[in-house]
This record gives sequence, structure tokens and C-alpha cells, in this order.
Amino acid sequence: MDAAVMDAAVTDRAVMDAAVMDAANMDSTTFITWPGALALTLGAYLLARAVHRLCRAHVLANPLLLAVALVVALLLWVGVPYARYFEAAAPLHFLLGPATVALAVPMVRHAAEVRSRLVPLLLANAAGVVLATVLALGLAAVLQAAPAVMASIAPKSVTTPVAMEIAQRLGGLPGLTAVIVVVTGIVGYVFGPALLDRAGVRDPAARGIAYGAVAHIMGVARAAQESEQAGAMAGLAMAFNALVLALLMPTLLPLLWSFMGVRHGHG
Amino acid sequence: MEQTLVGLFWLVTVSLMGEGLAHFFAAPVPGSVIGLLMLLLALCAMGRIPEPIAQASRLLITLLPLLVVPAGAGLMAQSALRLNDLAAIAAAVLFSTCAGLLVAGWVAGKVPR
Repeated sequence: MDAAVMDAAVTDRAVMDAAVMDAANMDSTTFITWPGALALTLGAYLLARAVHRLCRAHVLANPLLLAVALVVALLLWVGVPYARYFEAAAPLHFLLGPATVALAVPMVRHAAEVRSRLVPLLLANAAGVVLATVLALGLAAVLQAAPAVMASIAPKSVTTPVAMEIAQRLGGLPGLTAVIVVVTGIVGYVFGPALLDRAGVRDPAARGIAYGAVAHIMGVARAAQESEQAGAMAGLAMAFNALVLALLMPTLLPLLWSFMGVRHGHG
Repeated sequence: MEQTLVGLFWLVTVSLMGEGLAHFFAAPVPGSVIGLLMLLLALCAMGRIPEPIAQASRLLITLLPLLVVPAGAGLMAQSALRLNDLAAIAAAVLFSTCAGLLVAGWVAGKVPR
């Protein structure tokens, strides 16, 4: 494997290592290879979509949530550690890279519609990220979460590999951060549409910004299901956050951290 | 079909190029986002979207929910958590995500077209 692919594998390896370290279940007699992981993931996804249709598109009968639940349930039942499944599912997971690149197409198609209001839309995106971060940390502090847990929650608005690295620097648990980022994405994917409907946000571009700001690639997935324009804007928000926050967060968060540490007496 | 495969080849290649650049410059940014920017620039320079790229893009974007399932299953990776921490995490993540999403959507919706 060449260096570029290895590097992508390294970050995924970090997720896996964290998962392996924390997983109580280390039964290695069960071996799962990529055809198995492919069949499991595809099968779970198809089944989840069927259930979603049967439940007449109820919010909680969410295909992504159901598919994840099915995969997790089967892995636990058969006794396969997550790290092994994740490694075997690499062909699918790897396609997220080209899928992210693919977002350039809807962006170009809808460029004219947003050119005039690009800056305000990105500010809206920033507002969402700042609020999500500050609120998450504040709530965790009030609920007296352990410092390591708070450090893991803090970078939840950035994409997984970057979030894990920042968590590491803040003294958090990268494995926990990976899970938190995933849960954030799922919350956005599952509850986003209903929330935005209730708030009366109908503009596809605005909805896209909201999804991408807070729920990363899962937000983009949801936005793309609604409309191409929403998908384009979600991709824009996600890419913007990935770029800006990856560069800013390593310096900003420790500052915020020491500020909060001083305020709460390192509790 | 062949057009889609050609497009897929290009999308994968650009993604790998992005990863390579990120690695070369030791940038903290995901390689796929750099690839996204590269394709964006290329499409703007070409002034059009080649059909294979358009088809492959449509395919991958449609498959997005499936592609995130392996990462999504990572939920199960963390088991050694105290109950108090679990509640704190759940509350913090749920409320902050919903609030952030609402604020971003509402502010973006207020921007005049």
C-alpha cells in the first residue's frame, strides 16, 4: 500500500485500536472477512430500509439507526469485536473519501444560487458550530462529567480523525470522541428533518447548511436525500468546518479549555 | 455503466491525491476534503461537468447512508463508561447537536435570497 493510503489507514487504525482497547469482548475464534462484513452491512441496510417503509417513514424507524442497530446487535451476538468488523468493512468505509470528493458536483451545479449569500450562510454555519460546542461543554460541566470525558466531548463538531487528535491533546479519550462524533451525526440525521420543519426552515440551502454544520457526513447524507441543493450546501458546510476548524481548533480549544478549567476549578 | 465506472475511477483517484497532499504537507485536514477542493477547481476550470463524473457522483451520494454504517456501528466501541458520564454525554450531545442545528438553520433561513 502506498503512503497516502497508509495514512488514511492510520487514522482508521487509531479508531480501531481505541475500539479494541476498550472492547470487553475479544473473542478471536470468530473471524470476519470483507465479504461477510459487506453482506452484513448491505443486508442490515436493506432490511432497515424495508422496515422504514413498513413503518410508513416514522422518525424513529430511521434506516441509518436501524441498520447500525442491526449490525451492532449481530456483532455482539456472534461475538465479533468492532475493530475486526470495521477492518473488514473497509471497502465500504473507504468509499466515503470519493463520496466526499463527489460533493464537488452538486456544489458546482448550485454555485450561482449561493454566490451572493455565501458569507452569511457560512456565518450561520459558524454560529451552529460554536453553539453546539459551547452548549455541549457547558452541559457536561453542569452534569459533572469527568475532565477526560469533557475533553472527549469538546471537539465533537469536527470530523472524526481531527476530533480524535484534538481530544488526545486535551487529555481526552480518542475512542470516546469517535463515538461521540458518530452519535452527533446520527442525532442530526434522525432528528434534523423534524426539528427544521418545526422551526419553519424550508429553504433547502438553509437546511443543508444546518445539516452539514453539525452532523458532518451524516448530515450531508440526509441533506442529499432532501434535495441536491441541500446536499451541496451541507457539503460546503462540512468542508468549510473540516478546513477551518482543523486548523483553528488545536489552538482555540486549549484556550477555551484553560478558560473553563479556571472557571470550574478543574472539576 | 462504463461511464459511471470511469467517473468512479476519477473520484477515487482524486481522493487518493488529496490524501497524498495532506500527508505530504502534514496537514491536519482530511485528504478527501482536499480532493473535494481539487475537483471543485478542476470543474470550474473546465466550465462543465463531464458526464462520467456526474454519474459517479450521483451514485456515491445516493449510497452515502450505506457508506456511513460501518462508522456508525462504532457506537458499540465504548463500553467502559460510568453511568454518570454516560448521562452527561448523552444529554450534552443530544441538546447541543439539536440546538446547533436549529440555530444554523434558522440564521441561514433568515439570509435574504
